[in-house]
Amino acid sequence: MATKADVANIRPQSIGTSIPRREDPGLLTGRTPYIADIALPGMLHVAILRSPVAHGRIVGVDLSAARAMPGVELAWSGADVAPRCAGIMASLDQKGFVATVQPLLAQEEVCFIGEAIAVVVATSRAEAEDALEKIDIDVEEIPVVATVDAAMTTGVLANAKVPANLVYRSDRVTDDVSDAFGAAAVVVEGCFHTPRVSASPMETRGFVARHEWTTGQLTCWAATQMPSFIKTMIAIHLQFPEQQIEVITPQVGGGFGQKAHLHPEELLVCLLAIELGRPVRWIEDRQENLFRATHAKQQVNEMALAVDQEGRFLALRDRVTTDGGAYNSLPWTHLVEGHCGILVVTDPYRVPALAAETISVATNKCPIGAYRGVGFSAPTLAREVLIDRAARALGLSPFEIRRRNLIREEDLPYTTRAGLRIREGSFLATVDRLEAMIGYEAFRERQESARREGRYLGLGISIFSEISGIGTRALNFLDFPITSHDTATVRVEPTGKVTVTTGIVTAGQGHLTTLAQVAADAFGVPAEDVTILSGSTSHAVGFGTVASRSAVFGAGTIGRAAEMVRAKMRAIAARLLQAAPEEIELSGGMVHVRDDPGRGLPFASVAGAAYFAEGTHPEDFDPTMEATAAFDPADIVLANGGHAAIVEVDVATGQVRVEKMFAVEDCGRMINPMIVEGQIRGGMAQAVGMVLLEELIYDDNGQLITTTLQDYLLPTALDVPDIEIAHLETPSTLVPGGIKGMGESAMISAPAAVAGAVNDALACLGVTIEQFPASPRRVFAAVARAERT
Amino acid sequence: MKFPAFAYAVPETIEEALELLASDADARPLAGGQSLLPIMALRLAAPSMLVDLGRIDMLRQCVVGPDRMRIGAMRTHAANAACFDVWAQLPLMSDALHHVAHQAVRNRGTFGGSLAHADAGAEMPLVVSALDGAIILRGPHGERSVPAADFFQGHYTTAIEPGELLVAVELPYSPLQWAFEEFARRSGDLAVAMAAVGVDLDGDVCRDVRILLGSVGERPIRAHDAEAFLRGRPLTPGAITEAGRMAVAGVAARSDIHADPAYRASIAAVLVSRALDRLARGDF
Repeated sequence: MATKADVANIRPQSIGTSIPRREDPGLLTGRTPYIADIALPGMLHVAILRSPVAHGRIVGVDLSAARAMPGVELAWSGADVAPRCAGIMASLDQKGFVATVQPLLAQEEVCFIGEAIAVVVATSRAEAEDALEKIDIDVEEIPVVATVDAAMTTGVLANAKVPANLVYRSDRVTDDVSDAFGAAAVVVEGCFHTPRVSASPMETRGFVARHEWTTGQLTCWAATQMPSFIKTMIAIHLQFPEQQIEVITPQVGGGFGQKAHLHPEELLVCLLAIELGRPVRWIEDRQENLFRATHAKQQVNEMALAVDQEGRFLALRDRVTTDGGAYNSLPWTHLVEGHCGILVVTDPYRVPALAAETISVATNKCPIGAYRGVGFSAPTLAREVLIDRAARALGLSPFEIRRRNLIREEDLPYTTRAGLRIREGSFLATVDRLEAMIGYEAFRERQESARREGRYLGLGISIFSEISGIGTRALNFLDFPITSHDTATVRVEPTGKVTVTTGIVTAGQGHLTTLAQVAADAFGVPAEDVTILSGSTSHAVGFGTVASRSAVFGAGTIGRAAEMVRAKMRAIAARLLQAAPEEIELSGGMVHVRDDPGRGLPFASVAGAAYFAEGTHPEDFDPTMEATAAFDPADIVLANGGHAAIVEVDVATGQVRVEKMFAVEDCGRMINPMIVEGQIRGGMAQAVGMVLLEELIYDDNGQLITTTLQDYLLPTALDVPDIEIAHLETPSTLVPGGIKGMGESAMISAPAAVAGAVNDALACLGVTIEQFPASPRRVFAAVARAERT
Repeated sequence: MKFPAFAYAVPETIEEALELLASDADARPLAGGQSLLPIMALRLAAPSMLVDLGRIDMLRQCVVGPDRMRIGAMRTHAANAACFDVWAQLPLMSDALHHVAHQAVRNRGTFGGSLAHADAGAEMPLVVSALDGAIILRGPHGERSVPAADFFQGHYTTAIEPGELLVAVELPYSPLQWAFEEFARRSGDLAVAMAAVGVDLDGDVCRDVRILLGSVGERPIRAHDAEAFLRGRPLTPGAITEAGRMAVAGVAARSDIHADPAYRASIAAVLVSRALDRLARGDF
């Protein structure tokens, strides 16, 4: 009986080679269209008035002057939208979870700076912005909840619908750890603050909609990672017939999770297009993106680790508070940060006892959402910095303490205290490889001699396992009661070429190349003979390009569908070659008898026979040379690896410079090593940003201070050092070809390496850094404090 | 982030530009546009007319004299950075230009535009102040020369009167050896603090010295006390540290998200000391 988790047979040929990305000529010459390149006849432009206050009651919105401005076709406030759509209901079927409803335009209450209050549609964006200035809003300011402390200690509510500002509390793992902490030789603990950051894709969000009243068709162009989800959500939220909706994704200019949500603006643009009967476009500008596109990563981890005399971990305690903002984002909600985090907080170490609690609170800030590495980044950072601290206390090297605690071959399968079953992983090999790449002993000598010159070098390392290729099993483990599978359709054309349609959308990851490599190997043909069609919900169904899942779901779906078509090819070839179908293999562009490539036919000939030569068909042959198949892995697909960073801290100014970074990645069999390394480098650049530069700062009134990229500091090419990468390959048995996902690993674990390196550099001064980013101001202050004491 | 509507004019002579500016009190000259245009896109400024100076060839001229150079206001940072005479005669400016934004901005951003904008974190106002330059302003009633010390009045504030145009800068060649130090969050960012330090050394004794701090106050600050302290003194490590401390003593430093006043002053002191240290070691 076939199931969605069946692992098809794919024999790697093209898989494993760094063929050039077929999308690059279009991207590098600017010929590939992004959403802002979509130009439709009669198209109108949207500008949105966003709340200037963090928390207020809307007394009145006067649109009359705006409506009279040149070029203005329509202006709406919340009252106009409410009858058409009640807002985005973000709920999770979890006990105690407090759902929120975010209106498309604020109704009575605005809950954060940047929340949409009114919208203008005009013949140009500039005219629409001119009209925004004429909107007269009367907002009565009410008390603001600007911090998690305020959310939990004052009686003020950030959102009237969230009692006590508590969105969710969970303590799924509550071992009694008091004995372990009592018996520990060393207890290390800290209170780690990770910053509120923005994924900041190069292309901001955007949405274009056209409603054709003659047919009822609603066509949407979306800069999204989840087009199928958006389509269904439009149907549900706007009561629109789903079969008449198409969501097209042109080239997407980066997403990193920020575009993996249903955003209020997307529904709003659909409503405007339906109302006006003309195409309507909204392209977010950078300032809107900083104000309103989902934020991420802001957690407080109060963590403690108990360690025995030999450096073995006895227990880990973590209390996580997530600053989740004013609403839940659909579909990930506040759970995407702290709650996800505590469920993987001990991986990949043997930690016998765990007590972890997580609280998500509402504040008058922009709602949080997914960002590469989601809630895993923050606890990984805290854990790894504490492990280094324990190593220092015990006089162990940071590599040795990890070796003594990592899950070993003989422990497998190992089930963590949170319930994650780890079936494979090259954890010890990762540590050994990192240590060799860095040249640990030599580094310590260099560090020592630099210190004598008043220069402070530091080394940080981090070991991770990544829940990759996230399907239903992984989502359910993380307490998201969501089903997640994809489909792909594979067709062999009459001339032996292969066409694949997939629901996977691409935002620069090179899927058109890697999925072609997968399909090519499924049929034993060259990758040039395969075309991948993606980018429309008219194609296949996909959950979205999120959670390091496209390699896994691409291989799984294409593999299963190809297997069905391969059976047809085998059947014809068996008849023509007078062999049994089981004896027929497809490789090297031939369909041939196993172990006898001479006894075979060109792939194209067999395909042609299926279409045009009935005489070659076996009895009862069904000539449908295409198949659609779903895939969802049978269990959680785990990748693993480690990162290291060497930094130099200028203690006189507090400036941290990253000298070099290292990565060891084990994502099973790599489809295209060049693309894997690109993913690693990109994620490591973001890690440098999160730990040293990026921070969305709100003041006490809930005003966002960092409203341009002059204040919100993204790492540039000059801030990212050379990165040395090594690979290990532990194939997955759950995915065709042994493939695993890996897109998020660098943002899960490299922040910890950078944070650890800063702490290592300053350890000799008795300085610890637990608040990030480790800006010069913070580092300087910490050094000054240590000098005073 | 789209511009509000504005009129646009492209004069070909300075006189024409002055007439246009005189005709409309809300008109603003447009140089390289690297600061003004983003401010307009954020709708923090809405001039009624932009008078584009890009076609006035006179404003791009550079006159190399025996003791000074006169640099046209519309010379781009990139052109100045690539200019042999700037490198040979004004090494401080040459050094500082490496810190001005990124290549793409330097290609369009102009010397005069940066001075007229007078961002406290920009490098060129500090350089012109350090070298005791004079800013040449042309108005309806002719030309006047304003010493840098009088020209920069605050963050975004200068001595330019309505209707006047910054046409050139005169920079005398300095007999001092200079060192430039900057602290910024990222390479190419506006400075959190910077120091321009010039010395005339006799052996290791400081015959003359000039110390200016940038981005610490609202405008370039000259550290007179530290200069007086160093004159006639050998540049020992102790003297260097003390001069750095004195340079910021009593300075009311500005505050932003990157640095509060005390931290900013500490950095400035470090930068002054580092510049002096380099000069003492002959590393300039």
